[in-house]
Amino acid sequence: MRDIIVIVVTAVLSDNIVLSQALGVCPMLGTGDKPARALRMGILTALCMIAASALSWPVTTLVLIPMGLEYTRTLVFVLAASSAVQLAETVMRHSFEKSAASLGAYLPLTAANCAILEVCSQSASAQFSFAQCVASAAAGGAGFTLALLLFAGIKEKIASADIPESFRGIAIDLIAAAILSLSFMGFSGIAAGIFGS
Amino acid sequence: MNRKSKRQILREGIFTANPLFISAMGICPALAVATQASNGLGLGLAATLVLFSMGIVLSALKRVIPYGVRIPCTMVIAATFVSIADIIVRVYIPAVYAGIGPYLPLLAVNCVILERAEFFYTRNTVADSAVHGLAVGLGYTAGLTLLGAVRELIGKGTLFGAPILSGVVPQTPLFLLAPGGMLVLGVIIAILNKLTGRSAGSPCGDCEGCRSAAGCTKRKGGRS
Repeated sequence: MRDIIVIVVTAVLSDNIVLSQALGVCPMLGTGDKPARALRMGILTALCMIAASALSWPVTTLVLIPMGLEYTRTLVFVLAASSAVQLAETVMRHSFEKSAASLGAYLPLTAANCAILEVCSQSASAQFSFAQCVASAAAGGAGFTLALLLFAGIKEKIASADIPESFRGIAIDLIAAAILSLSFMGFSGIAAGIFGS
Repeated sequence: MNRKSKRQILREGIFTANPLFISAMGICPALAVATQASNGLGLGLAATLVLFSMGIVLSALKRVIPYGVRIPCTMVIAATFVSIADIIVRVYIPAVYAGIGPYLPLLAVNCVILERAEFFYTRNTVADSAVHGLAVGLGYTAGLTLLGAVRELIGKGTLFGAPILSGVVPQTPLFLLAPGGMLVLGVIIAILNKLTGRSAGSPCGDCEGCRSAAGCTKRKGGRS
């Protein structure tokens, strides 16, 4: 249980997948300034991460490692991630038409989220058990959602601010993201400090 | 969609719709990998190879792949070419592989590649897609190299490994980390905006699939 708590604290705060590892930055910048939309996008991505990890864990542990086929890992993760996203897309188009419409063209591009691939790949490299693997995917998803939500809040403020002409658009977004990411560096080592591991 | 000439496609990919600076795509590997000029160049060339091959294969297969499973199909093809690029870089330029190796597999889910696949390759001829892939790849390479060079210069005081500023200006390792990357990229984009007189709202060529299109006030047509 303790190791799972450490995994969660590390993934959400001190080693946040977007703000510390710079993965999944594109969706963070692209999701825009509506916190509700950011939350939807974050939860969708988190669910995809959990599904992709849960799919790829048995394949890696039961097939690839015993057969010495680890070099095809990327292919397996990509397949797991894209199947999860395609599944999510189909489910959303049928059951939550409005949410799907609000995410629009970004929905299929969730598959292009390198954060999903990285979560699978990190679990495999750390040789997690199935429970640890799912927990770390959920924590990675929570960290992703947190980053998206915080950034949507910042974008809301940016939208009403008077920005110099040439900084408008993606430039100011990146600089704001840099400051947010800088502030998250303050969390580094917090898990080791609390749990003494 | 009205067809563009090959020259126009080339110019758009490299300059007016540069994936990194104008459409702001493929940012994640740029921030994680392009901490020095040589890494940026290596990753960019690997991405060019993937984009070029993807352009040919996907546009040739566009009538064969069913719409419903296009995302997994695209990604499997991308992952295949990324694996090939991975092997080529590992064998021929091991020095660069040491820097970018762990991030090469992530090219398979690079949004530059998937977005091109989703919006260009599936709607255009093989020749156009090949030219387009090459152009976007070279534009991406130029962007990654520039970003890597600036970060290397400020963060380590070197350029392509040669000491230029070391000992003269204090080094700031922050620029080798994620926040420094975002800061440098943001400032480069702002400088480019100033130089080209392009503000965030002006149409910049390929609105289709542009990351900023959702918030862009002057987008052409519009997609829903």
